[in-house]
Amino acid sequence: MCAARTIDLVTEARLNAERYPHLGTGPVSTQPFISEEFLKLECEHIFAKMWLMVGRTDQVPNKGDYFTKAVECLNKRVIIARGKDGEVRAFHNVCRHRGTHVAEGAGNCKYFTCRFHGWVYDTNGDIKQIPDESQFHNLDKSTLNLRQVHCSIWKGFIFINFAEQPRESLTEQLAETGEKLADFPFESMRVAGRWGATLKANWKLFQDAFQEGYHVQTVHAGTIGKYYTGQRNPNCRPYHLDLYERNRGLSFSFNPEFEPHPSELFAIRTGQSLSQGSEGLKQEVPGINPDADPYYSFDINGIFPNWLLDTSIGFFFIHEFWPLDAITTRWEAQLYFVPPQSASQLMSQAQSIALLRDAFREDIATSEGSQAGMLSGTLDTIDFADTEITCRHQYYAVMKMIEEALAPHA
Amino acid sequence: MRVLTNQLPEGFEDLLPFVPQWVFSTERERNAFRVQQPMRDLKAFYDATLPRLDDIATHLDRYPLDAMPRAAANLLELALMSMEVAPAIEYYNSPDVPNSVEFEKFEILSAPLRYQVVD
Repeated sequence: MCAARTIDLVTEARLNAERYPHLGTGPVSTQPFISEEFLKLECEHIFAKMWLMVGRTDQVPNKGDYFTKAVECLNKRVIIARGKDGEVRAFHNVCRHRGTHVAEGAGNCKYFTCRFHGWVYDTNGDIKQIPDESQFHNLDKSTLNLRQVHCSIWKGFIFINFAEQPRESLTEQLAETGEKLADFPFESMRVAGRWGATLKANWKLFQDAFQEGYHVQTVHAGTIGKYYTGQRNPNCRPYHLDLYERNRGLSFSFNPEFEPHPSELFAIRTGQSLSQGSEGLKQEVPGINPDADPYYSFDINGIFPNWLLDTSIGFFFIHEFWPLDAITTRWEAQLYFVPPQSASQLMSQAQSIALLRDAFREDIATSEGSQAGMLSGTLDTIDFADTEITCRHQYYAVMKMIEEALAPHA
Repeated sequence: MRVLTNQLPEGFEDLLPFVPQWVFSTERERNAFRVQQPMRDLKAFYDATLPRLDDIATHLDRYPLDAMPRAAANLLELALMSMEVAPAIEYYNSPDVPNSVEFEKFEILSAPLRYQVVD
């Protein structure tokens, strides 16, 4: 693990490349952002092997609660259910008779019933009833439970893994990031805002829009740009950055010269605002603000392959990026707050919800444009600045996993 | 099914012109309404509600979130609309965010309401 170190926010030195020379500094090919063949490799060697975050246990608080999720790039449909025994499991949403799905959407039930011929499974996935069972030949009912998918939970986040035998445990996959956030109070927070979009953009390109600060002074000129940029940090560089094997963490500070608007001042008086910085929020929160920057705003934790977990004081938000094909991605984001105890706290949170959502509207506006440019064939390669090393790191981690999978075994 | 009434708690008669047109229970409805209003109407609403937020907060905090009387819930939803409108006035002077992904492509998904109305 690399030692933490403060980054000079206006230096001309390219400090990140010095720390992580293995990532290189040269241009990267646009092919992995446009090629269907490359996406096939990513699906086979990354998405089919890694733990994938699909939801939170607070979506299934009670026995019999369930939700469904599609992982389109692998042609998978899953059910996440809290069984009648209280345990959270994942199942292929595939009836053992002729393959029809047995659950839709989300809800609470005692049984999953296939709408084709009425096969019935309980919420533990066990087969309970087969109509007109005598007409089947040599049916061994004990082998006909819903097929399980590996499922593991970290800090209330539910992960699934489609490998027959996962190459590593969830704890091993989360590695340094899991240790860093081991005591962050995720459990105390509940969803306050949820947003989504399906856009014509490669999943990596889409994700990159959310894991560097270089875009902030232009893309967010209309919203939160001035909150993050100023004399101290004109280009919204992260003040702290750690790149691990595949995961990464980076931390951003706010502009100390920023003057909150009237609605933000109200939100600060009655609760907190996303755009207030850490002043007045001096709680000790474990796992954030690695250099104890007095102007701390929030951290981005990039968890390979397709998940960003952004933590702060009193809230966190997450981004999921699911490839549908090489140039189409389903993005979903959720903002979590400590649940309001009063109407005034609820009013306070509404200010952050509206502002963050509108900033996300700006963030995702650039993705389809980038994608169209890459598809035009005008650029064979693109360049990442030293301050965009997180994007380079994601690219590197993807390439390395695929190269290792394709390398002839010694 | 939610039935809108034009009630507000006593002392907030100045905000009655915005009820029920500016009262919605979800973020999706509030945002869809905001982006369709002309700036002068958004500004009038902002100017009328922003200076009243502290009074609204003081009044509403007398009720538990899981048992808000109808008139108080109307007032709360007006205040939530005020926060929805605020960035359009304070940041970008436009009903919708300029230079952002098309409104139609962006989905505001449902999140649980954190209050309940008792009639």
